Amino acid sequence: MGLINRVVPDGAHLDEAKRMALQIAARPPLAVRLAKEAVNQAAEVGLTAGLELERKLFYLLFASEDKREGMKAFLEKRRPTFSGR
Amino acid sequence: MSELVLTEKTGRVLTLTLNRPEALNALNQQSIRELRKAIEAGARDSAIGCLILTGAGRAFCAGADLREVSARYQAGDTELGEDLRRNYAPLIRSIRACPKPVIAAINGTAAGAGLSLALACDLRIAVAKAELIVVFIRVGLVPDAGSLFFLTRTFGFSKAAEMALTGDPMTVEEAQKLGAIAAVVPSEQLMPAALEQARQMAAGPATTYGLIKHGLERAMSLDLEQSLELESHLQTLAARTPDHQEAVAAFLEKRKPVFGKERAG
Repeated sequence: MGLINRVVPDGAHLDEAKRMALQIAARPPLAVRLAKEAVNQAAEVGLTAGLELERKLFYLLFASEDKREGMKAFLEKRRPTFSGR
Repeated sequence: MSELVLTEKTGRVLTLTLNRPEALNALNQQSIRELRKAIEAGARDSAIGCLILTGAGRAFCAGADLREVSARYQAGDTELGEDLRRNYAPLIRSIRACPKPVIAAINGTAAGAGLSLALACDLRIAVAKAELIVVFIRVGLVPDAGSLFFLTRTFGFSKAAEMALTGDPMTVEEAQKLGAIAAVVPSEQLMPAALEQARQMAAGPATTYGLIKHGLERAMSLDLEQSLELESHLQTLAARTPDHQEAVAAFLEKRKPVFGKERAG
Protein backbone atom coordinates (compact mmCIF):
# COMPACT_ATOMS: atom_id res chain seq x y z
CA MET A 1 0.00 0.00 0.00
CA GLY A 2 3.07 2.23 0.05
CA LEU A 3 3.06 3.07 3.75
CA ILE A 4 6.64 1.86 4.20
CA ASN A 5 9.34 2.76 1.68
CA ARG A 6 11.93 0.15 2.73
CA VAL A 7 11.98 -2.81 5.07
CA VAL A 8 15.47 -3.54 6.39
CA PRO A 9 17.01 -6.07 8.81
CA ASP A 10 17.15 -5.13 12.51
CA GLY A 11 19.74 -2.46 13.20
CA ALA A 12 20.18 -1.49 9.53
CA HIS A 13 17.54 1.24 9.62
CA LEU A 14 19.92 4.19 10.19
CA ASP A 15 22.32 3.09 7.45
CA GLU A 16 19.48 2.76 4.96
CA ALA A 17 17.96 6.09 6.03
CA LYS A 18 21.37 7.78 5.56
CA ARG A 19 21.78 6.12 2.17
CA MET A 20 18.37 7.44 1.05
CA ALA A 21 19.10 10.88 2.51
CA LEU A 22 22.44 11.08 0.67
CA GLN A 23 20.73 10.02 -2.55
CA ILE A 24 18.15 12.79 -2.23
CA ALA A 25 20.78 15.29 -1.04
CA ALA A 26 22.75 14.66 -4.25
CA ARG A 27 19.77 15.80 -6.34
CA PRO A 28 19.37 19.44 -7.41
CA PRO A 29 18.13 21.12 -4.17
CA LEU A 30 15.71 23.52 -5.84
CA ALA A 31 13.95 20.72 -7.69
CA VAL A 32 13.73 18.58 -4.53
CA ARG A 33 12.22 21.50 -2.63
CA LEU A 34 9.63 22.29 -5.26
CA ALA A 35 8.80 18.61 -5.80
CA LYS A 36 8.01 18.31 -2.10
CA GLU A 37 5.89 21.44 -2.28
CA ALA A 38 4.02 20.01 -5.27
CA VAL A 39 3.42 16.66 -3.54
CA ASN A 40 2.08 18.46 -0.47
CA GLN A 41 -0.28 20.53 -2.57
CA ALA A 42 -1.40 17.55 -4.64
CA ALA A 43 -3.46 16.09 -1.82
CA GLU A 44 -5.44 19.27 -1.38
CA VAL A 45 -6.02 20.93 -4.76
CA GLY A 46 -8.15 19.94 -7.74
CA LEU A 47 -6.88 18.81 -11.15
CA THR A 48 -6.91 22.28 -12.76
CA ALA A 49 -5.04 23.92 -9.90
CA GLY A 50 -2.64 20.95 -9.82
CA LEU A 51 -1.80 21.25 -13.53
CA GLU A 52 -1.33 25.00 -13.11
CA LEU A 53 1.06 24.48 -10.19
CA GLU A 54 3.07 21.87 -12.15
CA ARG A 55 3.36 24.31 -15.04
CA LYS A 56 4.55 27.18 -12.83
CA LEU A 57 7.10 25.10 -10.94
CA PHE A 58 8.35 23.61 -14.21
CA TYR A 59 8.98 27.07 -15.71
CA LEU A 60 10.66 28.18 -12.51
CA LEU A 61 13.07 25.24 -12.55
CA PHE A 62 13.62 25.52 -16.29
CA ALA A 63 15.31 28.86 -15.61
CA SER A 64 17.67 27.42 -12.99
CA GLU A 65 21.41 26.89 -13.34
CA ASP A 66 21.02 23.32 -12.13
CA LYS A 67 18.69 22.55 -15.02
CA ARG A 68 21.33 23.77 -17.46
CA GLU A 69 24.03 21.78 -15.65
CA GLY A 70 21.84 18.67 -15.54
CA MET A 71 21.09 18.70 -19.25
CA LYS A 72 24.69 19.53 -20.13
CA ALA A 73 26.04 16.70 -17.98
CA PHE A 74 23.58 14.30 -19.58
CA LEU A 75 24.71 15.24 -23.09
CA GLU A 76 28.38 15.06 -22.08
CA LYS A 77 27.73 11.71 -20.39
CA ARG A 78 29.17 12.83 -17.04
CA ARG A 79 27.78 13.29 -13.52
CA PRO A 80 26.28 16.74 -12.91
CA THR A 81 27.52 19.05 -10.14
CA PHE A 82 24.58 20.98 -8.76
CA SER A 83 24.92 24.42 -7.20
CA GLY A 84 21.41 24.90 -5.83
CA ARG A 85 20.85 27.94 -8.05
CA MET B 1 -41.00 -9.58 13.33
CA SER B 2 -39.45 -9.56 9.92
CA GLU B 3 -37.70 -12.54 8.45
CA LEU B 4 -35.87 -10.63 5.71
CA VAL B 5 -33.39 -9.32 8.25
CA LEU B 6 -32.56 -11.44 11.28
CA THR B 7 -31.41 -9.62 14.41
CA GLU B 8 -29.48 -11.18 17.24
CA LYS B 9 -28.00 -9.60 20.34
CA THR B 10 -24.87 -11.14 21.85
CA GLY B 11 -23.97 -9.06 24.86
CA ARG B 12 -23.40 -5.54 23.51
CA VAL B 13 -23.10 -6.75 19.91
CA LEU B 14 -26.01 -6.61 17.46
CA THR B 15 -25.75 -8.98 14.49
CA LEU B 16 -27.95 -8.24 11.48
CA THR B 17 -28.28 -11.02 8.90
CA LEU B 18 -29.72 -10.48 5.45
CA ASN B 19 -32.01 -13.46 5.15
CA ARG B 20 -33.05 -14.23 1.59
CA PRO B 21 -30.48 -16.96 0.92
CA GLU B 22 -32.47 -18.38 -2.00
CA ALA B 23 -32.06 -14.99 -3.77
CA LEU B 24 -28.42 -14.58 -2.63
CA ASN B 25 -29.75 -11.93 -0.24
CA ALA B 26 -30.67 -9.60 -3.10
CA LEU B 27 -32.10 -6.35 -1.81
CA ASN B 28 -35.71 -5.38 -2.38
CA GLN B 29 -37.54 -2.36 -1.05
CA GLN B 30 -38.78 -4.20 2.00
CA SER B 31 -35.45 -5.72 3.01
CA ILE B 32 -33.70 -2.38 2.50
CA ARG B 33 -36.21 -0.66 4.76
CA GLU B 34 -35.98 -3.34 7.42
CA LEU B 35 -32.19 -3.35 7.37
CA ARG B 36 -32.10 0.44 7.72
CA LYS B 37 -34.56 0.35 10.62
CA ALA B 38 -32.54 -2.35 12.35
CA ILE B 39 -29.32 -0.33 11.94
CA GLU B 40 -30.99 2.82 13.24
CA ALA B 41 -32.40 0.90 16.20
CA GLY B 42 -28.91 -0.42 16.97
CA ALA B 43 -27.49 3.07 16.69
CA ARG B 44 -30.00 4.38 19.24
CA ASP B 45 -29.80 1.46 21.69
CA SER B 46 -27.37 2.31 24.51
CA ALA B 47 -27.09 -1.41 25.31
CA ILE B 48 -25.45 -1.96 21.90
CA GLY B 49 -21.80 -1.04 21.30
CA CYS B 50 -21.06 -2.55 17.91
CA LEU B 51 -22.97 -3.91 14.90
CA ILE B 52 -22.21 -6.79 12.55
CA LEU B 53 -23.74 -7.05 9.10
CA THR B 54 -23.70 -10.42 7.33
CA GLY B 55 -25.71 -12.61 4.96
CA ALA B 56 -27.45 -15.99 5.33
CA GLY B 57 -26.40 -18.80 2.99
CA ARG B 58 -23.59 -18.70 0.46
CA ALA B 59 -23.68 -15.00 -0.56
CA PHE B 60 -23.21 -11.79 1.41
CA CYS B 61 -25.50 -9.80 -0.84
CA ALA B 62 -26.04 -9.94 -4.61
CA GLY B 63 -27.17 -6.31 -4.83
CA ALA B 64 -30.53 -5.10 -6.08
CA ASP B 65 -33.16 -7.74 -6.75
CA LEU B 66 -33.54 -7.50 -10.53
CA ARG B 67 -36.79 -9.47 -10.42
CA GLU B 68 -38.36 -6.76 -8.29
CA VAL B 69 -36.89 -4.02 -10.49
CA SER B 70 -38.27 -5.75 -13.57
CA ALA B 71 -41.71 -6.10 -11.98
CA ARG B 72 -41.73 -2.37 -11.25
CA TYR B 73 -40.76 -1.66 -14.88
CA GLN B 74 -43.71 -3.81 -15.99
CA ALA B 75 -45.95 -1.73 -13.76
CA GLY B 76 -44.71 1.44 -15.46
CA ASP B 77 -42.36 2.58 -12.68
CA THR B 78 -39.07 3.23 -14.47
CA GLU B 79 -37.60 5.90 -12.17
CA LEU B 80 -34.69 3.96 -10.72
CA GLY B 81 -33.16 7.20 -9.42
CA GLU B 82 -36.14 7.77 -7.17
CA ASP B 83 -35.73 4.23 -5.79
CA LEU B 84 -32.12 5.11 -4.93
CA ARG B 85 -33.06 8.37 -3.24
CA ARG B 86 -35.86 6.82 -1.25
CA ASN B 87 -34.42 3.46 -0.31
CA TYR B 88 -30.71 2.90 -0.94
CA ALA B 89 -29.38 6.33 0.04
CA PRO B 90 -31.02 6.31 3.49
CA LEU B 91 -29.69 2.78 4.08
CA ILE B 92 -26.11 3.77 3.24
CA ARG B 93 -26.46 6.95 5.33
CA SER B 94 -27.71 4.92 8.30
CA ILE B 95 -24.45 2.94 8.34
CA ARG B 96 -22.25 6.00 7.96
CA ALA B 97 -24.22 7.99 10.54
CA CYS B 98 -24.20 5.15 13.08
CA PRO B 99 -21.96 6.33 15.95
CA LYS B 100 -20.95 2.72 16.66
CA PRO B 101 -18.52 0.60 14.64
CA VAL B 102 -20.24 -1.50 11.96
CA ILE B 103 -18.42 -4.65 10.84
CA ALA B 104 -19.21 -6.40 7.56
CA ALA B 105 -18.78 -10.16 7.97
CA ILE B 106 -18.52 -11.05 4.29
CA ASN B 107 -19.60 -14.69 4.14
CA GLY B 108 -19.74 -14.87 0.35
CA THR B 109 -19.95 -12.79 -2.79
CA ALA B 110 -20.76 -9.10 -2.45
CA ALA B 111 -22.00 -7.62 -5.72
CA GLY B 112 -23.33 -4.25 -6.83
CA ALA B 113 -25.22 -2.50 -4.05
CA GLY B 114 -24.22 -5.47 -1.86
CA LEU B 115 -20.56 -4.52 -2.29
CA SER B 116 -21.40 -0.91 -1.55
CA LEU B 117 -23.10 -2.05 1.64
CA ALA B 118 -19.92 -3.88 2.67
CA LEU B 119 -17.70 -0.91 1.80
CA ALA B 120 -19.95 1.48 3.75
CA CYS B 121 -19.15 -0.50 6.90
CA ASP B 122 -16.19 0.51 9.04
CA LEU B 123 -14.36 -2.79 8.93
CA ARG B 124 -14.53 -5.89 6.75
CA ILE B 125 -13.77 -9.50 7.67
CA ALA B 126 -14.20 -11.96 4.82
CA VAL B 127 -13.95 -15.60 3.79
CA ALA B 128 -11.39 -16.33 1.08
CA LYS B 129 -13.93 -17.59 -1.46
CA ALA B 130 -15.97 -14.37 -1.48
CA GLU B 131 -15.74 -12.21 -4.59
CA LEU B 132 -16.27 -8.47 -4.84
CA ILE B 133 -18.04 -7.48 -8.03
CA VAL B 134 -19.04 -4.05 -9.35
CA VAL B 135 -21.72 -5.78 -11.34
CA PHE B 136 -23.67 -2.79 -12.71
CA ILE B 137 -22.03 -2.57 -16.15
CA ARG B 138 -23.17 -6.13 -16.88
CA VAL B 139 -26.77 -4.90 -16.89
CA GLY B 140 -26.07 -1.50 -18.41
CA LEU B 141 -26.29 0.46 -15.17
CA VAL B 142 -24.05 2.93 -13.37
CA PRO B 143 -22.51 1.95 -10.00
CA ASP B 144 -24.94 3.15 -7.34
CA ALA B 145 -25.79 2.95 -3.63
CA GLY B 146 -22.60 4.84 -2.82
CA SER B 147 -20.40 2.64 -5.05
CA LEU B 148 -18.83 5.59 -6.89
CA PHE B 149 -17.87 7.17 -3.58
CA PHE B 150 -16.62 4.07 -1.79
CA LEU B 151 -14.86 2.47 -4.77
CA THR B 152 -12.77 5.53 -5.61
CA ARG B 153 -11.85 6.15 -1.99
CA THR B 154 -11.24 2.55 -1.02
CA PHE B 155 -9.34 1.38 -4.09
CA GLY B 156 -8.18 4.60 -5.76
CA PHE B 157 -9.34 5.96 -9.12
CA SER B 158 -7.54 3.45 -11.32
CA LYS B 159 -8.74 0.26 -9.63
CA ALA B 160 -12.23 1.71 -9.20
CA ALA B 161 -12.39 2.44 -12.93
CA GLU B 162 -11.19 -1.06 -13.78
CA MET B 163 -13.78 -2.70 -11.55
CA ALA B 164 -16.65 -0.45 -12.64
CA LEU B 165 -15.90 -0.60 -16.37
CA THR B 166 -15.10 -4.33 -16.65
CA GLY B 167 -17.45 -5.76 -14.04
CA ASP B 168 -14.76 -8.36 -13.35
CA PRO B 169 -14.68 -9.80 -9.83
CA MET B 170 -11.96 -8.86 -7.37
CA THR B 171 -10.74 -11.61 -5.07
CA VAL B 172 -10.77 -11.11 -1.32
CA GLU B 173 -7.01 -11.71 -1.40
CA GLU B 174 -6.49 -8.73 -3.70
CA ALA B 175 -8.91 -6.58 -1.73
CA GLN B 176 -6.96 -7.36 1.43
CA LYS B 177 -3.69 -6.37 -0.24
CA LEU B 178 -5.32 -3.07 -1.19
CA GLY B 179 -6.29 -2.49 2.42
CA ALA B 180 -10.03 -3.03 2.05
CA ILE B 181 -10.30 -6.21 4.13
CA ALA B 182 -9.09 -6.32 7.73
CA ALA B 183 -8.88 -10.11 7.98
CA VAL B 184 -9.49 -13.18 5.83
CA VAL B 185 -10.63 -16.25 7.77
CA PRO B 186 -11.98 -19.77 7.05
CA SER B 187 -15.78 -19.93 6.70
CA GLU B 188 -16.40 -21.61 10.06
CA GLN B 189 -14.37 -18.92 11.82
CA LEU B 190 -16.05 -15.93 10.18
CA MET B 191 -18.72 -15.22 12.75
CA PRO B 192 -16.53 -16.06 15.77
CA ALA B 193 -13.85 -13.70 14.41
CA ALA B 194 -16.38 -10.94 13.68
CA LEU B 195 -17.99 -11.36 17.09
CA GLU B 196 -14.64 -11.25 18.87
CA GLN B 197 -13.67 -8.06 17.06
CA ALA B 198 -17.12 -6.58 17.75
CA ARG B 199 -16.99 -7.62 21.40
CA GLN B 200 -13.66 -5.85 21.86
CA MET B 201 -14.96 -2.63 20.35
CA ALA B 202 -18.28 -2.86 22.20
CA ALA B 203 -16.28 -2.98 25.45
CA GLY B 204 -14.31 0.13 24.47
CA PRO B 205 -14.86 3.87 24.95
CA ALA B 206 -18.30 4.20 23.34
CA THR B 207 -18.49 7.95 22.79
CA THR B 208 -15.03 8.06 21.24
CA TYR B 209 -16.01 5.64 18.46
CA GLY B 210 -18.70 8.07 17.38
CA LEU B 211 -16.25 10.98 17.42
CA ILE B 212 -13.70 9.01 15.39
CA LYS B 213 -16.30 7.95 12.83
CA HIS B 214 -17.42 11.54 12.47
CA GLY B 215 -13.82 12.67 12.04
CA LEU B 216 -12.95 9.99 9.47
CA GLU B 217 -16.07 10.81 7.49
CA ARG B 218 -15.29 14.52 7.40
CA ALA B 219 -11.54 14.10 6.83
CA MET B 220 -12.18 12.66 3.36
CA SER B 221 -13.26 16.07 2.14
CA LEU B 222 -11.00 18.34 4.23
CA ASP B 223 -7.51 19.72 3.65
CA LEU B 224 -4.76 19.47 6.27
CA GLU B 225 -5.54 22.80 7.98
CA GLN B 226 -9.21 21.94 8.31
CA SER B 227 -8.37 18.43 9.55
CA LEU B 228 -6.03 19.80 12.22
CA GLU B 229 -8.81 22.07 13.46
CA LEU B 230 -11.42 19.31 13.38
CA GLU B 231 -9.10 17.04 15.39
CA SER B 232 -8.64 19.76 17.99
CA HIS B 233 -12.39 20.16 18.29
CA LEU B 234 -13.11 16.42 18.51
CA GLN B 235 -10.26 15.83 20.96
CA THR B 236 -11.66 18.43 23.33
CA LEU B 237 -14.89 16.41 23.38
CA ALA B 238 -13.11 13.04 23.73
CA ALA B 239 -10.96 14.29 26.60
CA ARG B 240 -14.09 15.16 28.57
CA THR B 241 -15.48 11.60 28.47
CA PRO B 242 -15.35 9.48 31.65
CA ASP B 243 -13.77 6.70 29.55
CA HIS B 244 -10.75 8.86 28.75
CA GLN B 245 -10.39 9.91 32.39
CA GLU B 246 -10.57 6.25 33.39
CA ALA B 247 -7.91 5.27 30.83
CA VAL B 248 -5.52 7.96 32.11
CA ALA B 249 -6.09 6.87 35.72
CA ALA B 250 -5.54 3.22 34.72
CA PHE B 251 -2.29 4.15 32.97
CA LEU B 252 -0.96 5.90 36.07
CA GLU B 253 -2.06 3.02 38.29
CA LYS B 254 -0.52 0.50 35.85
CA ARG B 255 -3.77 -1.44 35.42
CA LYS B 256 -6.17 -2.12 32.56
CA PRO B 257 -8.89 0.48 32.08
CA VAL B 258 -12.53 -0.47 32.55
CA PHE B 259 -14.59 1.45 30.03
CA GLY B 260 -18.27 2.17 30.24
CA LYS B 261 -18.46 2.46 34.02
CA GLU B 262 -21.27 4.94 33.60
CA ARG B 263 -23.30 2.47 31.56
CA ALA B 264 -22.59 -0.40 33.97
CA GLY B 265 -23.50 1.55 37.05
